[in-house]
Amino acid sequence: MNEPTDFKRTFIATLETAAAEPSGWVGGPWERHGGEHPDVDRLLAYHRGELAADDADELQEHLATCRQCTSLVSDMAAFPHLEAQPGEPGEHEIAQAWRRVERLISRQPIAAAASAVAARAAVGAAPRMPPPSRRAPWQRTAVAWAAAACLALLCVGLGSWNLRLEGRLADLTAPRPNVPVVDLGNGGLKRSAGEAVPGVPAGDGPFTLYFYPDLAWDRYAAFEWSVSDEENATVLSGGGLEERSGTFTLGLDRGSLTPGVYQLHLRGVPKSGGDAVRLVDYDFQLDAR
Amino acid sequence: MNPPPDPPLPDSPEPASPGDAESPAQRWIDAWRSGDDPQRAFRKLFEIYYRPLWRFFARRGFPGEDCHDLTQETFIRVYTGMDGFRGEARFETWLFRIATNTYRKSLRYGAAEKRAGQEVSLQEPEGGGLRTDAEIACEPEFPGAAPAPEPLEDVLDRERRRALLAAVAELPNQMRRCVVLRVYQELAYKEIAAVMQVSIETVKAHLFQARKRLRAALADHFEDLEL
Repeated sequence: MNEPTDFKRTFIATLETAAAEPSGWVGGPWERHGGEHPDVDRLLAYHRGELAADDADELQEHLATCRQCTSLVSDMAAFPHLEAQPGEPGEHEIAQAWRRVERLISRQPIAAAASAVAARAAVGAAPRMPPPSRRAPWQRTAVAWAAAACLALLCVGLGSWNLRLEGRLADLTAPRPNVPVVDLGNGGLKRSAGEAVPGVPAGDGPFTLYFYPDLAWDRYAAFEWSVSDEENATVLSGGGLEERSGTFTLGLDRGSLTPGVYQLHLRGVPKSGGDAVRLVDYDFQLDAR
Repeated sequence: MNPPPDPPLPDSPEPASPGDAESPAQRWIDAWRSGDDPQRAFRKLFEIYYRPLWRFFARRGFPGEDCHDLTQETFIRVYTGMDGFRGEARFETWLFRIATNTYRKSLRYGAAEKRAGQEVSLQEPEGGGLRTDAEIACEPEFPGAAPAPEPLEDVLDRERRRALLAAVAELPNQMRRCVVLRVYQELAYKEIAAVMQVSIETVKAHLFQARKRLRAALADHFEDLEL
């Protein structure tokens, strides 16, 4: 590799010094400013040529001195055909990774499947029936054998499912000492108020969120909840929350969430009818292990 | 009836032009969205995109084990957020967005952990915080004596930097950015063209002109001005 020239060394040193005095031709390396990077949607819009000229110009100014964002924009064009890297995972490692991910997602509802079923029900699409066909006698025998085999497989499958269910039931009914309880307070988002976000300690197993909003209780017939991640995607949701002496509790499993900051949303179904209305949002954080 | 055989898994997905909806994963994306055996569809997407995502994190300097963790975290976010994928953008764009957010989130956590791990001595010297070696070295040997004159080399260096700053500031915006990307970020012409969204010829022309102008302005300061 070539030694950097005197010009290059001075150029870089000048640029890095400029970070302390952002009055130069560039503000210096972006990372040294501690400034916010443009969000990924803005970078994607730039990459697709969808930004207005002024906005694109401003972004280019940032890119010139920000290695992090420049490399993201470069990779956007190439993804998913990125250059191979040393130490790439082999098939075995990918299979191992799948087993880990499969264990984690088996605790999540299959959202897409559920919504697809709901969508089909909504449009009233009737299931398609195969047209009747005339079969030869040997075909009928084969079909009967296949049906018997399927039935046998189904019985074996149901048996093992039952055993697994019994195992999980035993896990659920076993005593669980030291379940963390996180006090979310009476309302309001901590992050926007600059307060510390209540944290759930690292570990496995359940934890309980405990919150007590100031509400006109008699206006609501029922309460629903949902948990969203930092990208505002709903990761868990449900109903059946009951107020006890002005307090709600919600038990969640740490295994169903990855470390990060989440928001718990409380909604109330008005007694006067209509859709549930959003009442209070809480921040909480699942610490990294 | 048996399900149709799966196509062989590629090392990485076949190239697809931007905006082309027909990526090799499209079949599994459609299967996922229609609710037909979503678990299997997700597994296929996992197998197709694991390596590209691992490379995405490796290119950002994470060690191998961290690349695995971040790739898996990305897939869990994909799984839990699949409802948010409306199919308006390419799946790969959506995947890239999630990977980038996972990457940035890990940087924030890393920075927070680093801050939490910093140790600061409780015993401060009188009159303020800790002094650096440079500050100690610059102290006058005898209190009350005049500060030592700045070495000539430092003065010249500062002068060179000032001249460089002024000369680069004179360049038109696009030209200046090409120079910074070339010298500071060490990008190739092709990479600069991609980032600036111009042709390679435009990049070459900008750098040629910049070299001419900078050589004229900085002839007294640099002999080896190459871009």
